[in-house]
Amino acid sequence: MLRRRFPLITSRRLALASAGAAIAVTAAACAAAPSSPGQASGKINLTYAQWQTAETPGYQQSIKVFEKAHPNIHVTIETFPYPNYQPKLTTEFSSGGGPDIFWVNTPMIASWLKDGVMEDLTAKIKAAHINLGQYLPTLVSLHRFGGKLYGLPKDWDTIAYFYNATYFAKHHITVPAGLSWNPASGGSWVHFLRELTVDTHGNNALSPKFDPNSVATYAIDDPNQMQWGFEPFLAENGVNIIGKPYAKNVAFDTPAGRQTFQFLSDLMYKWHVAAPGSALGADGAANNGEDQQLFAKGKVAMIENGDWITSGLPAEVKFKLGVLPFPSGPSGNWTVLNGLIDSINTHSTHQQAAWELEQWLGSPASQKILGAGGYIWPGIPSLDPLFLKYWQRKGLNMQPFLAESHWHTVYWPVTPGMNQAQLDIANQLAPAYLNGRNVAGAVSAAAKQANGDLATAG
Amino acid sequence: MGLADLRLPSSVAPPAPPKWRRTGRRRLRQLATAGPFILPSLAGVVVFLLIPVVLVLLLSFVKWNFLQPPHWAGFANFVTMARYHHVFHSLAITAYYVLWNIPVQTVIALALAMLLNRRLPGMGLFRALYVLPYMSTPVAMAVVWSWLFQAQNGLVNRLLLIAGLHGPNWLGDQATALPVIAMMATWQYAGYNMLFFLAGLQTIPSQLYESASIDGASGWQQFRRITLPLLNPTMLFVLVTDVIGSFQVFDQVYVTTQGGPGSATEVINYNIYATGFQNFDVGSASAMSLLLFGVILVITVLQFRFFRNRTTYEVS
Repeated sequence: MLRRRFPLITSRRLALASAGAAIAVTAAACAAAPSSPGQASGKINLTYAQWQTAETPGYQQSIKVFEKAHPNIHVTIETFPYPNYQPKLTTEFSSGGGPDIFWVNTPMIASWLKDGVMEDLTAKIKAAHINLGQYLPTLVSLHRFGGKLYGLPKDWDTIAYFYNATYFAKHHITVPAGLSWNPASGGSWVHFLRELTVDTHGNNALSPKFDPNSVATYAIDDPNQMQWGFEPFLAENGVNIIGKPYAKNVAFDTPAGRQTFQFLSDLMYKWHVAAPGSALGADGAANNGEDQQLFAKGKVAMIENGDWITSGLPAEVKFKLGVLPFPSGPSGNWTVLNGLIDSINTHSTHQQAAWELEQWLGSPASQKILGAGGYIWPGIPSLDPLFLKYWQRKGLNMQPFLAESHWHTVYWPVTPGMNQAQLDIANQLAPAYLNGRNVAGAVSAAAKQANGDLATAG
Repeated sequence: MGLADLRLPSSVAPPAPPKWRRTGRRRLRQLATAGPFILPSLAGVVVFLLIPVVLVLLLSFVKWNFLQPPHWAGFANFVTMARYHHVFHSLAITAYYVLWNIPVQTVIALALAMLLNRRLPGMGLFRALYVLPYMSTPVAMAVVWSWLFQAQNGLVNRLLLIAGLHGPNWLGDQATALPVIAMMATWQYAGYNMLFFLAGLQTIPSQLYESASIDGASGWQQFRRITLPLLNPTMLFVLVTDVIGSFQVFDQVYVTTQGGPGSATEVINYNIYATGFQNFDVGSASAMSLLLFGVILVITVLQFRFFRNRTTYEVS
């Protein structure tokens, strides 16, 4: 908060703060329309927006090839922090500006689709004879609305556990298969986690001598996150975040939903096998990479996360890595499968150039570069071995992520307002994650707040 | 002397224009001179103050999400802000923050001013040191404070651990999160307020204290009967500007807790931001802004009324 104490300026601040929404109008009006600084020299300058810095080098390699084949087009990659990505682009779109082509994540789809900022590419895809059968079918259906397709799938991800293979070896723990959890007893999953958790005296959590107040290494983290935290567990207990796409209400405040969250809380506060929420930031959501920091320091033996962190993780840790698939739940094996598309801005003045780039990024040639470089699982399944082989050469078996893509899958919920709802759900669940008290109350509060967001989403 | 004797001789120059006309011309000339100096500021006030305020007023009656054309919504946004965006809960949280922030900040600022209002070596250095936090970027300071108050590795809990105490998850506990943020603001602004109190203290004639001492008044009596009453103009200024600033707290919340845990730190300015720029419900965010404007206006008027009959501006 910038506070100034002179009366004139203070009154100005007063009004400015009150006028928060209106400032957006001015800000939006100042936002640059899709521009072409290079146009004076006859070159089209495309702007391409994304949020993932770890993948930027891969995209730079791919775009270099594209630019060589299209000497009249220059592409500028713009990277924005994920939390600000949708607000930033939305204000730019409101003035008819924004990037020419941009990444779209699932929670953003519904709002941007409704507001008409994503170009319908159905006719162009058909005219270019692009074989949609080459892509993972669920990715195509994720981005098809009312028979229209708004982008070409380019990658996918699932959720699994990265483990510290050096720690496993030190404690003579063999990597088990077929683990399962249930909310009542915890199942073989919790038994395994208790074996992994060790206190400062060297006793694991199965030992009667185990001291839960002095844990040296917890088995896992338990992030207050939807996609790579509780959504897979909810799905495996038969619960969805929303009942159907474009729903105006969330569907997780049910007995099974509350039971699942109670199980997740018990991992921390009953069985003491997961690092307490307070170790993952003020809201237990590990938004600032706290989970990876704990993992690197050896405070947790495994972390639940998506494969998108793979390219950055080896540089952070000084031990051998492994990947364990998600345990199965009462409803079987489920995972959250997500994927991105590039979308073309309807306001772009370079529709054809943007379409050229869209085609390139969706093509096997580009996805080969990114897959073979270990940046993404390509959206074209026949290229998945490239990604797998890259990491095999680095000593990491990524097969569990691939196997999960063939399980039952749920999407990140698609409905307007979900981006804000996600933030509010995390805030309302925070007390349950941070101290384990009144889990059912926190779940109900989260559902109530999320319903408000979905009901009023602009 | 009769009226006829007052007539001017015919040889005298024609009568001067009426006084109102002369005054009007002079004012025009003054305005022509002042205009170029005033215009830049005036343009700023109009563009960044008046137009946004009018726009907020208009926006509070429309449904708009930045991308679709706005459409008239009547008073629906005022209903929505209460029903779905729990604006009154946010106001209560904000008031709670103000109650934590203002008394502590004011007392510390006054105490610092009293301590530094002495002619001792090094006082200038201390005055500068206490103002340093105010000169720091609030966002950067919030990041530093969130590190200090981290549950696991924060300096505060480490120090407590040395003393054998287990500190709470300061920013992750609904009971402590808001007080910590208030403390952060107090640390940042107390030194700045101290400057105003210091200036106020230096206007109080020393003879008053000498007389009081001769009459046998104790230090506390001198503070209550001389210092505090004569500091009322400064107190009014500090309290009015502080309360306005506190009701607008945003940066620290945005950086440290994002309104959580639960809704424990969801102050109204953060709620306005989230509603307008994350949920894109611009109409409801504008309605909430108007409500905040009204609340601050009422509190400011009450403060002025409270101090009106208690303030002495001159001591002769």
